Amino acid sequence: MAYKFFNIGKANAEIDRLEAELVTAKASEKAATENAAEVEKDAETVSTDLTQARADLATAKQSISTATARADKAEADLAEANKKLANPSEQIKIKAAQEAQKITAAQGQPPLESKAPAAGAPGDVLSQYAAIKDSTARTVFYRANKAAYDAAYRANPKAGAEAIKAAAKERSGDE
Amino acid sequence: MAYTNLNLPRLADVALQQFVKELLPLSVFSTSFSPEAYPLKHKGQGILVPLIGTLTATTFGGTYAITTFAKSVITVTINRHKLVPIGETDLDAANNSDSSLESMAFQAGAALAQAVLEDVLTLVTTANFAAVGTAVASTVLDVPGLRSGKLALNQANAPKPNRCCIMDSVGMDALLAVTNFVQAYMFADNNVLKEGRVMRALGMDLFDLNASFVTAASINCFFAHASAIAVAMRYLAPQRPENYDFAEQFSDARTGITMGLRDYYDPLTGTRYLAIEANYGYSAGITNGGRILKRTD
Repeated sequence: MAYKFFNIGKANAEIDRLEAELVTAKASEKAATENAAEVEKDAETVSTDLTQARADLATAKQSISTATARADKAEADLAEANKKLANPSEQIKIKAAQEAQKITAAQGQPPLESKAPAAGAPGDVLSQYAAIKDSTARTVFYRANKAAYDAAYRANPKAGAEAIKAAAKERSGDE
Repeated sequence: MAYTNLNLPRLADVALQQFVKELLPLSVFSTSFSPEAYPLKHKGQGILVPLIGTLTATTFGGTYAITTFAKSVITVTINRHKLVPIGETDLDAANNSDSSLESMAFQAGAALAQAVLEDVLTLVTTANFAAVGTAVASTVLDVPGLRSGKLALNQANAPKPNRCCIMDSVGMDALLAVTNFVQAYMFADNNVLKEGRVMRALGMDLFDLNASFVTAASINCFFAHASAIAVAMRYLAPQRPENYDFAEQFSDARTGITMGLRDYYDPLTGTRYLAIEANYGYSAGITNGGRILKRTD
């Protein structure tokens, strides 16, 4: 059995080892602390990215919604344009009536009592013409609807003649 | 049925277009064309046609409250009435198709305009407007004749815009033989060859009319500023429109030129009567705004 004090060297060696382990442990602890900050920073980055991604997603959803609305409107416009193309003379009548109103307005004359022609049978152009009180507006209307008017007149000359005669007599009574 | 070949709006529109086109030379004068009916509510009143006069500048004298100059007007009485009467018997109606309508209306409009023009141009005499330059035969009208008119208008202080020269067709034909005109227009405007008309020269719009001046006045050219003659035109409404089958006015939207159309049928003769008419008046305006070059032939 050896004396204890003969083990002092061993104890010193043990102390040295423990001190070395302590240094290692402290280094590990320091590294761990530093890693935690880095991890925390990474987490924040991930969080920011996530927030941005969510915002982008919301924007994308809005864009899709807007694009869908535009597509719907374009489809509706196309349908409306096709409808108008199917009946071009009606647009000419409306345009002519608008132009006639502009002209009479420019001349300082009272607004026309006749309205923009509404869709109807081809023969309507005869009565629409006859109903226009202002002589310049009638000229404009006739020139804009010449083909339609003449065709309607040829189809029913009596109706055409009677329409203008009745309207002229009514107007002469106004004056 | 007698309706087919008398689509009245169509007939009237063709006639109106031609009427307006032929009246183009009148557009250079001071005009008051309107679709409103005459007589107006205040019967006996004339139409006040504004004239383009010459205003002069003056030095500021300490106040703006001066009315030295005012827009000139001239009163024109609407007392002229021309018409083109058209008759269509039952036999005519049976034998004429819709296609002949436009040519008839075209002639009617042109004839009415010619009558109006000739009437207005009776004002062009040396009693109203001074003669200038040296009278030449219309067959040899050339640049010197036009120059004399331009110079006279300049010396009379006529404003430079809105000047015209109305001449007889013979004079225009002579100008078409002037090489300088033809060559000059080759580069700027091919209307000399296309339309057979020198459109503009020496600051004036040129118009030619066939035998439209008073023969006794021996007019070669009438050089005028817009203020020289005032013309007014209104619709003449019938006293009893209900006695017509149709009586209505037709007006040109751009110029306001208006003509009337009356239509009725006489059962005793089996004839349909149509009249295309113009109701207007005119007066000499600022006589210094017009000058005459006389002709020797």
